[in-house]
Amino acid sequence: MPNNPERNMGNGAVQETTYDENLTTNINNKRPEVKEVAGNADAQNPILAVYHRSLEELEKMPVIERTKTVCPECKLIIDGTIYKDGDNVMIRKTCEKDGMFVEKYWEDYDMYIRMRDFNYFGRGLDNPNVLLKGENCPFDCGICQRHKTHTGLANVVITNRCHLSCWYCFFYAKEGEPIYEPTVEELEKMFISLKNVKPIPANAMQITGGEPTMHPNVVEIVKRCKKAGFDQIQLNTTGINLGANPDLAVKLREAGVTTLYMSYDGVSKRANPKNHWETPKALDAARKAHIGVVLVPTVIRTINDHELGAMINFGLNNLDVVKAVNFQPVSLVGRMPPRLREKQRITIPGAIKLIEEQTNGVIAKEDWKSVPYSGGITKFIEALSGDFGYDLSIHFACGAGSYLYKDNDGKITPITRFLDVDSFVETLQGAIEEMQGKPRWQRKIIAAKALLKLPKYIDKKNQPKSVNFASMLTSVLLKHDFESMGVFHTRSMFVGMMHFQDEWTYDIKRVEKCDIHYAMPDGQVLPFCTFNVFPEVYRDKIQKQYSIPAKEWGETHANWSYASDKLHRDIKALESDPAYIRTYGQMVDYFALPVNGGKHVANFARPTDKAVVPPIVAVAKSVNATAPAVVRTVAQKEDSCGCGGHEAKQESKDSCGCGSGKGGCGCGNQAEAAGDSCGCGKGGCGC
Amino acid sequence: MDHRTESNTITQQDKDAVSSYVVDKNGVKVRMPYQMIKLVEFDDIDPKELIDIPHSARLQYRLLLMDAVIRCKVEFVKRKIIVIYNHPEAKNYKDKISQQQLIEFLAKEGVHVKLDKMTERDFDYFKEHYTYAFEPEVIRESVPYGYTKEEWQKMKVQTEAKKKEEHDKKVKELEERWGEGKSAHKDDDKPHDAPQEKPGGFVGMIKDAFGKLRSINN
Ligand code: SF4
Ligand code: SF4
Repeated sequence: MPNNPERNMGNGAVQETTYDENLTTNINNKRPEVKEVAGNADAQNPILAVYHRSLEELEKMPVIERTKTVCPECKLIIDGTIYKDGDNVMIRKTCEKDGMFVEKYWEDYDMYIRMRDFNYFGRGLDNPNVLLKGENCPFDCGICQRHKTHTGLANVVITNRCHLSCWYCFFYAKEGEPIYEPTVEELEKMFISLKNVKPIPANAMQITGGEPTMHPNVVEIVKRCKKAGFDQIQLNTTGINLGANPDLAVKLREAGVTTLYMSYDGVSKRANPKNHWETPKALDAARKAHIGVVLVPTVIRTINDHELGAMINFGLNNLDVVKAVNFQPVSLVGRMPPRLREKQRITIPGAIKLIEEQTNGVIAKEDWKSVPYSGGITKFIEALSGDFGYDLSIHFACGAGSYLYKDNDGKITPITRFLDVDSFVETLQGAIEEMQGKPRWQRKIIAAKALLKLPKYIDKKNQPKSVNFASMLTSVLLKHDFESMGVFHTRSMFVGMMHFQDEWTYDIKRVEKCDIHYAMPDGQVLPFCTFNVFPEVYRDKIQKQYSIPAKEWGETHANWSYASDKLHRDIKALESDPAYIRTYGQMVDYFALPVNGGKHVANFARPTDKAVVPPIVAVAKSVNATAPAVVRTVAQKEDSCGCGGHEAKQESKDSCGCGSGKGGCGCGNQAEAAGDSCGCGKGGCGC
Repeated sequence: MDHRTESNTITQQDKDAVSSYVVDKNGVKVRMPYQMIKLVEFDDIDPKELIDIPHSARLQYRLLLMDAVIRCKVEFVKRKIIVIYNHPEAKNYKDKISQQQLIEFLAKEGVHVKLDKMTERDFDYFKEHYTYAFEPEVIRESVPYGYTKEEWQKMKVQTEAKKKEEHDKKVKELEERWGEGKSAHKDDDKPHDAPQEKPGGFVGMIKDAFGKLRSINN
């Protein structure tokens, strides 16, 4: 029977999610609704107030820079003003016909200014796929002559069929829509074409969908991709099919898949109805196949923003196989009620600040560097080797990242805590300038001199005990010896952020530097943020030209129907699977260790012992994360501890689900190092 | 506009159209949605009608919104509009638009083209669009950071030869790994089983039957 647990959105608004308690299809297919609130409550809400300024107030806000953007309604290219509103960086634009639009661009002014310093222009294509100059950007795509960054990550859609129907997804074929599933030969043509790009051929490929494992020839496709010369092959998947068929994972690894780029929207089932139950099996399949996993949470404010730290902790618990957690603040493409958009909007710094809060400051905002930061390193290697390197010259507002190192004692240290990255990059930059015009042997001397300075930038006191970072980095940069990274590799995890644009946040200065490109069946190559933001003229239009109408597909594929593609899950069976119990039940909270601040990561929870859970009990979401299937009958109304709406007060006064009834709201904000107030060991604050 | 929903009325003609394959010059069989279509060029557009670059870009966007317009270019500086479109006589069953309809569309958008400044020709989709996009011309030459053009010219041949050698070596290794007689790979080119988890028993049966029924109705 469907159940409608409600989630407090602040200001009395309540959002509903619906899912069956057990046998469930398309559990993730309903967009949450936001009820309107009376009065000017939103204007008082610190998160929403920036959307509710008067024109007079807006005009007084300091302007940071000007750019070009599009009108979300009529798509006229209009001027965009990037301005400061308190701590937020906002973008406003006015279309003569459709009026003014205000949107969050970056939720931290200082960080914006700091990251902007590393922006630089890279190199576009010497052989662009269309002969257009790009003055009508973003409608000259293909890639055009103006584009400023080569393909860093190529994406090829191999099917638009999917076994799920996520409400925020525009990719998958809905009932009645044509099926886009290129043949192996057509796909190979795209791979070869991406490898022929000059001067820097694509070397990393993401095979995507829909759900790519639904293409019956996925193994052969990966082989062709590998043969075309791609060293990095990622499979963008829910992991569900691989968990159900681990042999397929082994075959894919053998064929060349290096990474599973796997959706993972939260640790709890509420935050991650997409693949919460199947992830443990998918991770086991990846272990069996020796494929690294990148967990990819789409971050949506009010939906899963309370579990960002918990997702990092989940990654750290599976460090043998999880190599990265790459957060993607949601891109709100398409029409949606403005209030919902405002509530769900989150930007890179917004997510970074929540991570800092949720991890006791172990991963602080200063630990993140924008992607083009690595430009200095690329240029250094290139100047030394004389060969083109990968240029991560995307716009600074598109992505950020950091490395976390897990030491023997469980201490988690972001790399920036023991490496003065800024000074290091500056030194490399100086060396590049010195190398200009010099013969190879002299370049080597200059490089060696620069690298000799490296130990100076390493803080030995804070360096992890289990790795000699200085010698490792020297071997990598001087000898290109990546083997020396062995220990670092097995104990480190990349945390990244990639924020794709939508019509509201659109900035042409960003899209012209995009390095995530989609290869199309007609030979064109499209930057991610035109492919997805203007599907009506790019993605859907071109894919439709090469699609098979549903009826023909049905006739040529026996027993096929849209419904037959869809996943049916037996939640009870999945929850009693040993992989599920082991993965969620034995999780360590690294952030609760004294070396990491000793406070539980927000929403940390392990499955409760079924024996002590009453059959019908109201449990807070933190516990729902991993609790056995229990019927939630009590609506979560409000937040008793004032933590900001993260957790709802329970009528049973027992949010940790231990059943002792001693209470605790589970927000984690006031929890003691010792854990919790009721003594069950699951952490409730006892407010 | 959702371009993906109109296909419910599939006819035999549609089927023929999507099944039309072309063999490209490397011997690969590829599907071609279009073959001979049209390219029309409207020149000497009144400067008052092409207001500025943003308006030209939006006009380009609006033209592209039509499925029958395959590519187009609104050039503000040259006061020119080029449209590659699927004309009514083209041998395919995709959306079509006539030259007259295009002119009317532009007029609605405030651009009144001069008929004496209009030229039209056949456009071979496969040769001029598809093949070019897959094998584009080199229009400039970048150099690695820290090198001058002259330095790069001297190093280039050697660097590229080394890369080719590395690539060929990799391919050879892969072929050996996957080659004939390697039982682990003998089925790689066969379709894999759909590893879907399905509910068993009565529930599964009803769900499947319901799904099929819905598809048939569509
Ligand atoms: S986004 Fe890039 S490829 Fe597209 S029109 Fe702009 S510069 Fe050209
Ligand atoms: S493609 Fe991905 S996001 Fe879209 S429905 Fe499938 S699983 Fe969900």
